[in-house]
Amino acid sequence: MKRNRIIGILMGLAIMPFLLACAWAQAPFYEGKTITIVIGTSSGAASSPQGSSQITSANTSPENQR
Amino acid sequence: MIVQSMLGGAHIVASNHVFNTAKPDGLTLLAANPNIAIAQLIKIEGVRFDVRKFEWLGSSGADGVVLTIRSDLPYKTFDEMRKADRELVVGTTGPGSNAHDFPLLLKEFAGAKFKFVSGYPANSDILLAIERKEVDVWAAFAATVRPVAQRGTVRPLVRARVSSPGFDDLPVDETLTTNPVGKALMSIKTAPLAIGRPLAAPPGTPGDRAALLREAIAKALKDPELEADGRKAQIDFQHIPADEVHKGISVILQQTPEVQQEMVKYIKFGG
Repeated sequence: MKRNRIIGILMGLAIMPFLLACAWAQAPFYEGKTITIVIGTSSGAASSPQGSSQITSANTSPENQR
Repeated sequence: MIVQSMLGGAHIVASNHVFNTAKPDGLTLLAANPNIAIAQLIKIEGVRFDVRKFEWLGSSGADGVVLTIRSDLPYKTFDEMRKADRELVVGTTGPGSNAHDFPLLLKEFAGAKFKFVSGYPANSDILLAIERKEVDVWAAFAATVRPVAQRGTVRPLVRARVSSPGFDDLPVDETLTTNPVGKALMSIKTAPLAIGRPLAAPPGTPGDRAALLREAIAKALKDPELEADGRKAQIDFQHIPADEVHKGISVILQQTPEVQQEMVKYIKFGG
């Protein structure tokens, strides 16, 4: 389950720069926005089952585009 | 980016939320478990979504399921394990999960002597129970099993038809039974594994945003940094396009009433 969460985090972080790069060419919809990825598993036994983990909410500035 | 855990019903609660409650604005995504298509197929109570109507965005790759036993147990093959002189305890998160359904079908159709203990909150809890020797058998995604097997905690014995690096030589569950119903059910349970780890947006997400997300996911999966992170975490990434995910989901739903009836007998959802 923890690895599913890791995959979610990796995927989420990875798509952001590409999302911005794609979005920038059309309309900057994703600029300054936070994407929430909902997952049906927990991060592990010791964690709160309802806990959420804010990985980054401010990496959607143009400087972070690739 | 926020990752929000929403537990319950073997992914049904999270799927219901994204389908019905989340705004279809391209800002809330579901890290879906394709097993939810089976929940819909067999009309599990609590399903409030239609998997065909999600905006599927693509998958980061297929992943097989591997059944393991505690490495201090003497059984080196599935056949040896089948001849065990006692029931082996299977630790599971609950019906509907791979941890539960994969060994259940081996018990029902391949002669495995398993006793199920359900309700563990997560795989990590099952692993603790294995280390305490309260649990003998554990099944999970290959990517989850791999590091645990490498540490020597468990010994892989059987895999699903969808293979994963390092587990190719294991016998496939479908070859361990001669029962046609058993073979059919094991085969259907493989279909979600071939879809793997898809992301979805709620129905009604504007087409241009869904297209952006699909494009971003495809590009991200070719990104050297993500590939390097994947290697470190021992996760194989491969891009499965959104239309293939949608097609795979639709195929799962196209089962005859007879097969559905058999599925209802053996496959439950909960936890």
